[in-house]
Amino acid sequence: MSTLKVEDYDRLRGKLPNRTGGWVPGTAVYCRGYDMMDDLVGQVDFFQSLVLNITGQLPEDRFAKWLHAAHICVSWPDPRIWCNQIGAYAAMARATVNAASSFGNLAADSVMYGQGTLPIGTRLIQRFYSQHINERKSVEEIVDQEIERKGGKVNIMGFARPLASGDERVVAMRRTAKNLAFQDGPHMQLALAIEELLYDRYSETMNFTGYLCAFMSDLGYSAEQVHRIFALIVVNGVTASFCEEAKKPADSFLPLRCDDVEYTGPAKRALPDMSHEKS
Amino acid sequence: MVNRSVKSRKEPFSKKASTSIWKEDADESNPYLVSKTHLRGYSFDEITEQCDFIDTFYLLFLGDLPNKNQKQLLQLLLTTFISPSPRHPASRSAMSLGGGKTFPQHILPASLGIAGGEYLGGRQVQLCMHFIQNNYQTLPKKWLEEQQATLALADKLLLAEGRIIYGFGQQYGDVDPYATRLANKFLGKSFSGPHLTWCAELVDGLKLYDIGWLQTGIVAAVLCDLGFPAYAGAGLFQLIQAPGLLAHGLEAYPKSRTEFPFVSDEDYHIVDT
Repeated sequence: MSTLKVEDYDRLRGKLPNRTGGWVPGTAVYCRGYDMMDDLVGQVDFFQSLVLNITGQLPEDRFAKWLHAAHICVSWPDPRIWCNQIGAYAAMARATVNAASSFGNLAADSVMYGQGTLPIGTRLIQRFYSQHINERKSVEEIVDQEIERKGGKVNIMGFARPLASGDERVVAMRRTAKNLAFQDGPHMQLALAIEELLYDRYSETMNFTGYLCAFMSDLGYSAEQVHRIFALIVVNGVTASFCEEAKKPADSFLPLRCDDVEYTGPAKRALPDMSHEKS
Repeated sequence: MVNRSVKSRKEPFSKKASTSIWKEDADESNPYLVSKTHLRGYSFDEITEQCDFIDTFYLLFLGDLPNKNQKQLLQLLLTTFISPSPRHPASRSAMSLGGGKTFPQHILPASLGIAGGEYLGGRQVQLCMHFIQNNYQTLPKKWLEEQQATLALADKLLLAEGRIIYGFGQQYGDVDPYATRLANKFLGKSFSGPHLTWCAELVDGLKLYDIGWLQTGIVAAVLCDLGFPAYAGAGLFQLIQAPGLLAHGLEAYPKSRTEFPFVSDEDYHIVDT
C-alpha cells in the first residue's frame, strides 16, 4: 500500500508546504509566482485569477470574457428555480445573505442541473470523443449505446433539459464565443453532431451543460477543473432571489395553508402501550 | 437544421407537495396556523409524553416504532458515532469556525458539509451502503476471489482511502484499530444484523490487502441492517455526527484566536512558484 507512513506524517506536523502561494508578511502575497498586489490586482480579471489558482495557468483575456458570459447566462433572478428557491427561503427565514448564497449555490451540486452536472458532462463528452476517434464509433453508434445504457431512455447528460425543449443559453453562448473568435473544436463538433441526430430523432437539443463541457474540453480542461472553475456559477440568481424576498413580510413567499401540504401517511392511530418495549 | 428555440414542455406538476411523515390540522380561525399534529399517524402530543428520542427518531425516518433489537441497535449507533475525532476534518472545521467567530448559526451547517465527504464522511457511507446492498447476497470470500484481479490493479491511494471498497481502508498508513474496536461493539449481540456480519467476514478477507474497517463502513452496515436505503446514508451520517461537531465549534467560540495553532511563517513554505 503506497500511502504515507507515520514518519511521513511526522515530517508534516506543523509544516505547511503550499504550491499555490501565500502571504509573506512585509514582503508580498504570492500566487503561482506572481506578486498579487503588483502583477494581478488591477491587471487581470477575477476569472483569470480564479483559473490561475485552479490550474496554475493564467488564461487569456477572451477566455475570462467567455467565463463572465457563461456565469451571467446560467444564473437568472427567478426564484422558481431549485437553487434560487433556497435563496428565497433564506430570506424568508431571515438568514444571512451568506447562508443564502452559499447554500443556494450548494443546491446546484445536483445531478439534475447546475454545477453537479458539469464533471459528469465533461467526462461523458470526452469519453464519446475518445470512442469516436480511437474506436472509430459513429455518432449514431455513440448515441444508441448511451440510450441502451440508460434502459432505452433519451437521457444523455448535456442534451435536453427539464421544463422546456431548446436552450436559449446555448444560442447566446455560441454567439459570444463567435464574437470572441473562438472556433468550434473537435469536442464541440462532436457535440453538435450528437445534437443534430437527437434533434432529428427526438426534437431535443444540446443544453447549456453540453455546450459548456464540450467548449471546456476543447480548451483542454479536465472534469475536475471544470467543476472547480464553475463552482459558483448559480450564485448570482440565488442572491437575486434572496434580495427580492428579503424586502417582503415574513412567511409571504408562496405561503402554505396547513392543508396545502397533502398528507399521504398512515391514518390516525393509537400509540401502543410504551411502558412495555415492543419485542 | 437544429432549432434551439425554447418551447415549454407543459409538464403536469403536482398542485401540492405531499408527505407521509407529518400531518398538521389547521386552527379553526386561521388556516395557516396549526392546532394539532400527527407524526406517522400518531398524536404528537402522545409521542412527546410517552416516547423517548430513539422511538421518535426511528418512527420519523422509518415509519413505525422500533422493536427492542432495532431500538438497541439505533441507540448504540447514535451514541457510538455522536462525535467525530477532534482531528477529523469536519471537527477541525467546526473548531476553526468557532475560533474564527463565524456566526454561530453557520458552525453546524458548514462543518456538516465537510462531514459529507467521500473519505470518512457521509458520501462514503452512502457509497458503502450501495456496495453492501449490491453484493451482500454473495459470500464475502467468493466476492473477494472474484475481485482479486481488480484489487491487484486498483489505485493504492484510493484503496487506502476506502474509495475502491467504500467504507474499508486505512488511516494514517495502517488499519485503524479504533474502528475495529467500535465494530466489535456491534458484533455478536442479539441486535447484530446480517449486513454487519457480512462486512465483518469481508474485513477478515481484506487483511490480505492490509485493509480494515473505516468508521463509515460500520455506520453503513448498521444503517443497512436498520433498513435504510443507500441514498439516506450520507445525511444520516451527518446527522449522527452533528452533536459532536457543534460541541467542538461551540467550545471553540469563546476562545481567543491565539488559543489555536497558526502555522508560523517559518513553517509555511511556498514551493514551486
